[in-house]
Amino acid sequence: MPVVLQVLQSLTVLVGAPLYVGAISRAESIVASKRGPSVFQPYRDLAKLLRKGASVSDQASWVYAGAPFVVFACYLTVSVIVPIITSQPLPLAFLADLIGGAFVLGLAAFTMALAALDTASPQGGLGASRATWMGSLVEPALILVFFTVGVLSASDNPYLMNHAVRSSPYALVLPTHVLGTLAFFMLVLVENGRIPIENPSGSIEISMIEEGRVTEYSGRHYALMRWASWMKLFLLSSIFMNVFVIPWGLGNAHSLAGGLLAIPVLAGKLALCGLAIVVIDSSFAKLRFFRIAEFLGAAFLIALVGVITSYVVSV
Amino acid sequence: MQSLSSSSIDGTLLTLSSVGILLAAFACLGSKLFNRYVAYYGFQSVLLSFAAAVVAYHYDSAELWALAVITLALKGIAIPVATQRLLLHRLDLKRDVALSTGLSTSLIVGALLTAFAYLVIEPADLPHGVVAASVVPLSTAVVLLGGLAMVVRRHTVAQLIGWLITENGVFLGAITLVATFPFIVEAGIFLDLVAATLIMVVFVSGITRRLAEATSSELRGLQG
Amino acid sequence: MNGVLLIAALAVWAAGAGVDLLVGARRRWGRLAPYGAGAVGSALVCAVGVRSVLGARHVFDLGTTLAVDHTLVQLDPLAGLFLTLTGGLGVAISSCFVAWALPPDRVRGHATAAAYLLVLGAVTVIVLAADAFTFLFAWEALTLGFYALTSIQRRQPGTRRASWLTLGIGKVGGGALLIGFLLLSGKAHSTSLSAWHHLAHSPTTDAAFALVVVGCAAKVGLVPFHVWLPSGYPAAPGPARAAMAGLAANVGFYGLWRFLGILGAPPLWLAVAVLVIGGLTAFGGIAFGAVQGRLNRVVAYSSVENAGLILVGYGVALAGEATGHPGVAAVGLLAASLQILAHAVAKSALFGASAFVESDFGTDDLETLRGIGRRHPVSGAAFGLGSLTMAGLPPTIGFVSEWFMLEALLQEFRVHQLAVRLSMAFAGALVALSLGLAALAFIRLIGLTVLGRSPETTHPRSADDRNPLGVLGLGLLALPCLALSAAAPWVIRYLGRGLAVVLGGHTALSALRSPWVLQPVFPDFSILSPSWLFVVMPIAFATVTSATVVLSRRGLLRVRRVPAWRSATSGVAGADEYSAFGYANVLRHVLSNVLGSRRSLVHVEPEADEDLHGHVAVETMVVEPVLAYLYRPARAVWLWLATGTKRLQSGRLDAYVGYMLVALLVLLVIVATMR
Repeated sequence: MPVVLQVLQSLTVLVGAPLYVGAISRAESIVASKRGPSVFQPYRDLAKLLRKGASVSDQASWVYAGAPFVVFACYLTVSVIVPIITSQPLPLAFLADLIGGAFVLGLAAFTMALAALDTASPQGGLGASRATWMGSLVEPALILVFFTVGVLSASDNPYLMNHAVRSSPYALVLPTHVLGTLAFFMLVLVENGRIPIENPSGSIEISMIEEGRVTEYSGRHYALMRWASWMKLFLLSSIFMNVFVIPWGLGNAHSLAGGLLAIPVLAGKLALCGLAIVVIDSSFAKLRFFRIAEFLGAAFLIALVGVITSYVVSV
Repeated sequence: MQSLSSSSIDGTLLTLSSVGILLAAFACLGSKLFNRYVAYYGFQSVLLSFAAAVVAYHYDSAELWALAVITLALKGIAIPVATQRLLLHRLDLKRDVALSTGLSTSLIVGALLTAFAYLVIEPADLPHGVVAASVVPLSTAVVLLGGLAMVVRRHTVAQLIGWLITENGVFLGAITLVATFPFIVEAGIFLDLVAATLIMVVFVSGITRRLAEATSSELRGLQG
Repeated sequence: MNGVLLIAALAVWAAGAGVDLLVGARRRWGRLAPYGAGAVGSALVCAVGVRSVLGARHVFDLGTTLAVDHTLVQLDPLAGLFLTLTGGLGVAISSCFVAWALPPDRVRGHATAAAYLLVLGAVTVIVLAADAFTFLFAWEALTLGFYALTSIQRRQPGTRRASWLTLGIGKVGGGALLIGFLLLSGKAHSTSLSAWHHLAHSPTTDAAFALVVVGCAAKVGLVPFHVWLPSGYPAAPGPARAAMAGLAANVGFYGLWRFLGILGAPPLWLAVAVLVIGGLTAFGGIAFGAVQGRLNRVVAYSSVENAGLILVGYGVALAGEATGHPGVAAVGLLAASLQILAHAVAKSALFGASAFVESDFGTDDLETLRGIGRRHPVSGAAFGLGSLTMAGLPPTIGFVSEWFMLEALLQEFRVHQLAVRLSMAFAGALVALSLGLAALAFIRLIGLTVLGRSPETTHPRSADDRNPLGVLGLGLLALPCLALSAAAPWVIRYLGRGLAVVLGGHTALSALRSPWVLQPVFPDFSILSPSWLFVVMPIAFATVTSATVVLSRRGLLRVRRVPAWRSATSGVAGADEYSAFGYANVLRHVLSNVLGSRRSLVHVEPEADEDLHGHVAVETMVVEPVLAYLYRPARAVWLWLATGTKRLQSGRLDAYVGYMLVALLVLLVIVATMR
């Protein structure tokens, strides 16, 4: 049974990710008083891209051709280790913890940047330089978030963290946890290239960051890159909701019914998270590039204050 | 290995020869003639080799016996003879005129230094009844006197003698305190000594022959 | 048996050095034999290392003939650990050296191989030494070897200054060690290291501990002693850089590990200081590395970063010992040891590969080096794997070590002292930041140097890295980057045996949760299985690939080749490709207050045949703060003092002896009053 749930969990991520993104962009259009595309538009995009042939830069080597698969495999690996539909570790959850997962995500980002430079396209280099630089500033804030998690649950394992918060809900209102959660949400926005970092719907050459890295990709390779980035948003939002905000509503590792029931619950949680993203996307302006460091600095400071308050107020 | 006690015959002999070494240093300091310097230094070295032999006899150590023999051969005979032949005779050195202070002043300062040596090397701190308690201040005094000789004399050959006296003081302290001094270190000191003497000889006989009565105050004119 | 092997190794090295000094590099066999001797001796040392990790502790007494006190040599699992590393790397670097030195004119004269073998021998003797005299003697011999290696190419500009810097910092470190050893041996009345084991803690032993840390830190390049690395390593010829950075620098860490085992719990302030300085070193090292314009300097600065990371792990171990948390100490030391391992193999691979590349291209300028992977597939692959390891990416050993490092810092909540907790959190943030910057720096190296547009130059390629020995050497350096990670549980078992000497028990083995799953010593904190990642990630990759190929009816494999997209407008002048300088510009801009980067506009005269007039080039320079704000003022003060002392320089021998006499008298007074 756990094996079935394991597969089910990865399938949830694979299939749910485009829907989640479609729902968010539909909601944004509605907020902006437009009708917007259908929530199933991302599936149609994928289907179309997967049918189309690819054109590849004449300078690119096998690194460029292999990168989409490596990136996709990385997100697939992360999808088996984090709590998406169950609150108990599934058979492969021993592979890595939150920090290990962050390293696997780091490998994905590294591969994308390499592929961008491999094309010898100036746009790719620009995107790679900017995205890697942002990624390096995300790391310290992220590690301080893990410090707040470690203080509260004496662990760095998402399942144990989830368990710790469920068993003493009081932890949810501790300043350490609140600040850590807030910082993590800011990092989710940065990692997925949402406003105020980057405009996910438009791609203007001069301000491209995430899109800059995949600008050379086309056809099936591009489909995989897009899908992978949607999976990333889905995964990070799920971790945010399941571990930090609402640790309830997950199934156990032994009943298929519990796992199946957890999927609609997860959809509800993600709706909340998506709503927050939509509100921010629609009400804030994009930051100037060099102001992004300040945004990340703010996330870092919030997490740091969270760690320091743990010395004073503890569970 | 038990320490050499000061009441035994060996200890008494060692103390006596140390006193002799100090007196030889004073004699050197109070003299004005080059051949006296060398003679006193030779006498001092013979006493030193005797002291080494006493220690060697006491501890029955072959290495120390070898040291005593080398000391006698090198410092007691070879260096004085070489200095006499190669430097004094060849350069026709007789009377040392390049003194910074008068003889009596340097003797008084020497006495003060000896007192100072006794003051800082408090015999009370060393184990009671051990011969080192009496010899170490003496050897320290010899070291200081040798230094003083180098300060108050400005002739290069006289300074060489002062340096050799200092070295004798160090050697005396070493054989008394650490009879187990590794042979390799002592052999190294000997090598240093020979090398330094040779350099001095070459330096002095090579350069000062042309400058006739060279003093280091004249050499000072050469500084850059 | 071990003794015979060791003597044989030292004899082979001495013979190799003799061949080099007598025959020199003019003859072909004179270029090959010494490095071959290096490989043979290293293999013997490696065998001794493995035997002593698996065996018990032995101390050999070589009598009093060689030094003031008894000369002691010891073989215990900790020494075995470092001997294994030294020997293994020695074999690989020596075979790189053979392949590299084969073409004439790369090695000239006599000293290169002799200095290299001196470094190998000194490292081995330091690890074996069980008394202070032998340790210091070998330490100074290593400094001498470093000086010799860095001064071989002294005709090249800047090299002379680099070798003096190497010597100077080496001497400062040796001096600190000497003073520390004197304090300890004065306390214990013995120069034998084992006699210092049970010294009661006092301000003297604390000061000695700090001095030992300073001495070892100078060797590995901790701030503010890191200034010699970026100029010293590139000054050495070819694979000798790998020997210095990957192999010899480890003795600094060995000294730290050994003295933690000997001296026991350090003072708390030392732990805090090591954590903070280690974190700052890691960050500063990689921040400066990421903006360097020369390949060897980037790699050398990455050594500074790694020294910082390892010292952070060591700081966690110190904090654990100082506050009485053996588990925290174990996880910190284990993390640092894994990082040493990762750094040693990856840095040797990077410098080994860059030696071939630089010799072929004749430069290590990042703006010129492009597409080296196509011209030198073996070097390119070794360089890429080394870079992945240094960037701490899964599934390399660097990933395992960095994971352990962060997990060790996360144990902060188990300690109660506020200063330690804060400094661990601070170090954690800095370590994470330097991880991110390391990714930035190494993407630059791989993406723009190994990959990218292949060079249009047509000068004949020298395929010396395809020489079987070169392939073997680079393979022995690059493959462990992956293999050690796949075999991480066994690596930890092996390390745990050695670290038991320091930790006083097999605490580090608790890092194995089950045979294939790791945890940061404390149960139920977190888990990682690099070995299983080696299974799962390829499966995921294969699934995705085959699924796409099937879904696209094999259309995936048919692609069109087109030029890369540049811009919507045509006729824009300038190079197509993103440059290494431009890539690092964002960092230069954002960290300008750390890097001290300044920009100035420089007018360039238009060239005659170009119709573009009045270019304005932007010149950016980076200022090393430690150099600018610590060493330069110190140098000014020193010069001022020197001018003052010149007046004392009368040139009179009697005056000098007078100074010495006065100094001696003052010293005697001090000694007398101190009693």
